[in-house]
Amino acid sequence: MTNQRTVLRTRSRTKSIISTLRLLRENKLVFSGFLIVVAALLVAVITPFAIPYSVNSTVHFTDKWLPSSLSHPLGTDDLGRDLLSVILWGTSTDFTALVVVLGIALSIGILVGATAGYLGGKFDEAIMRVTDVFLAFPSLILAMTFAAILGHAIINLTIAIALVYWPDISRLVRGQVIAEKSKPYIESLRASGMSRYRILYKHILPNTIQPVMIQLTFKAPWVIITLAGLNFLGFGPGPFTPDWGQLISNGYAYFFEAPNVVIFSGLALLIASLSFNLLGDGLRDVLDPRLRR
Amino acid sequence: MKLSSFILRRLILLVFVLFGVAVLVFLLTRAAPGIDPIFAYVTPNTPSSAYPVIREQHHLNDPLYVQIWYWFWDVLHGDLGYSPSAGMPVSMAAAIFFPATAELTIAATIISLSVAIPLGILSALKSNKWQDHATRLFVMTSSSMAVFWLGLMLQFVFFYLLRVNGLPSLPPAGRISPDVLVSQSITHYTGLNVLDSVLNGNLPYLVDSLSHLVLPATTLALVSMGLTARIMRSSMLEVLGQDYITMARGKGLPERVVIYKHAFKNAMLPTTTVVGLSFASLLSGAVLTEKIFAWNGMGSWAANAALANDTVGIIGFTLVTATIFVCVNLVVDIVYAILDPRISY
Repeated sequence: MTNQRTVLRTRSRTKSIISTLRLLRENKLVFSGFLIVVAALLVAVITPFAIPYSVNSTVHFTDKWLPSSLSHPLGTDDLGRDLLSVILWGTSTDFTALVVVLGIALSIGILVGATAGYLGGKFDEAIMRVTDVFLAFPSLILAMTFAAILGHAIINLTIAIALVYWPDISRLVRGQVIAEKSKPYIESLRASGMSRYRILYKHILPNTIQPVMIQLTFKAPWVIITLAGLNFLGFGPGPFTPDWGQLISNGYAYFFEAPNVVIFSGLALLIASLSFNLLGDGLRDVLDPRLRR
Repeated sequence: MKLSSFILRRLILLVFVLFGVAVLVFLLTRAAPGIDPIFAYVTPNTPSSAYPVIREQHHLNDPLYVQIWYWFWDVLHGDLGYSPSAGMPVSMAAAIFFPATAELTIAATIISLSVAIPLGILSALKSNKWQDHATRLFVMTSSSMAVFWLGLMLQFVFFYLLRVNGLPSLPPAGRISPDVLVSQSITHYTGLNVLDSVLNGNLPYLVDSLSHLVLPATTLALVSMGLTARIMRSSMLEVLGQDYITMARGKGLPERVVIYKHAFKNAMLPTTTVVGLSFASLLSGAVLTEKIFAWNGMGSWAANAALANDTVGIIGFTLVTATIFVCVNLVVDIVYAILDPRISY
């Protein structure tokens, strides 16, 4: 019986994923956003295996700031490294950081938001005031402060960004949980004697996940751009953990003489965040049909 | 009166939020590993023999829950410590650098609103036609850009490429040209160069400071424009679907009157709140934009502090910015409450 139900559920999940994809395909722009995000993820996973680390850790002082050529399609950067390879390595750094940020922020945000929304009362009030305080800071500036205190390492930057981001998720999840918990099916579950935490984690949370997914897709560009901004300001770990923001920062010194570094690193950043935005737009239209106009 | 009690309630809430902000900032100053809080109260010229006395003066030997009250007392008296990267106390740096940032963010807001509102209306009126799609793509692209990269690209086109081709170009850095600064002397009433040169009636100074303002303000505006345009579009669409618009059309009013006299005013309401929201992204963006354009404001100061590992400077800047941001949001909320008589609090 249980097995059968699991099979059925998995089948309906797969079905809904497929139908979501089919709906996404209707809009060419949205679908291209989806394809680019997938491609970038693949690049991020493959690069560390395909391009040897020595490419970005070896300095060639004689080959600095070269323009595009056959051996270096995008030219070279301030350390004489092949710009294309370094940008691809940057994809890897930035997407890993993105996954870590979303992971941390989601865990804190869902845990805190769901508990606050479900329990209500004093605890909820206290949590909301805490998020008020976090939201009183312009985001990049708070992230900057955390980064300044935590120190220069990519993991510290991700923690800094996640610490700024969790209140958003908390509030969203809290609102969803409050809306969901007053529905009749929850009442009946409660009446049947199911424990509060089982209701919360097995029944309420799965139904709040869609808006969270949409929000995550929309926030992904913000995460990448903020990370690049912190790196650009010099909070980053240094040249051998290549990242797009830090490449722009390095290229900035000789911008007019060798514009390739800044232009192409920034384009990589733009393409990544634009495709996330397109995907988010499409996901919202598909998953939330009320918004379709 | 309902409005006054709403304002009072918001003010009380403001005090609580500011208190929370201060507590968080205090914890950050004391929680930082490897950073002795005494560095907030010494300058590079302070002999290390004076450290114990300073430690005693600022109660740094007391437990944290005692320290925090002394710290509040200091902050309320404007003593936020000494920022070595600025070479002056934090409060003085904030006061000196604030006008430049204010000038930049105000200019950016003006540009942003004057482009975003017409764009939003256009895409609402031509909903799902090519104008709407083009606007959507433009808005999405501009808000997907890292503000510092956009700034560098604008510099590349409007300074470098124009100059290389012998065309008149826009200045890429600073707030005023050195030769104008030397040849024209004006009295600074506000610290906002554009406003001051108007008050002085000095045309060359006005032209020069405006030309310096164009690129950084456009950069900032482009990034924050997207949100406003989208909200304008959706609130316009909502208003246009309402009965009184159908009624106005039914009366035979010309479409122009229906849109600009009846729909526009009501659609503007939600957009006012966005001004407050986008102010946060303006302040964040100002840090990066000011760095790129060597705009000598609070953002530049923060960026330099970041490079110099000047934690006191960064934290002081954060506290000041958060305070400004919270107050601006309060003003926006109050304005909204005044503009929209339907809402009672």
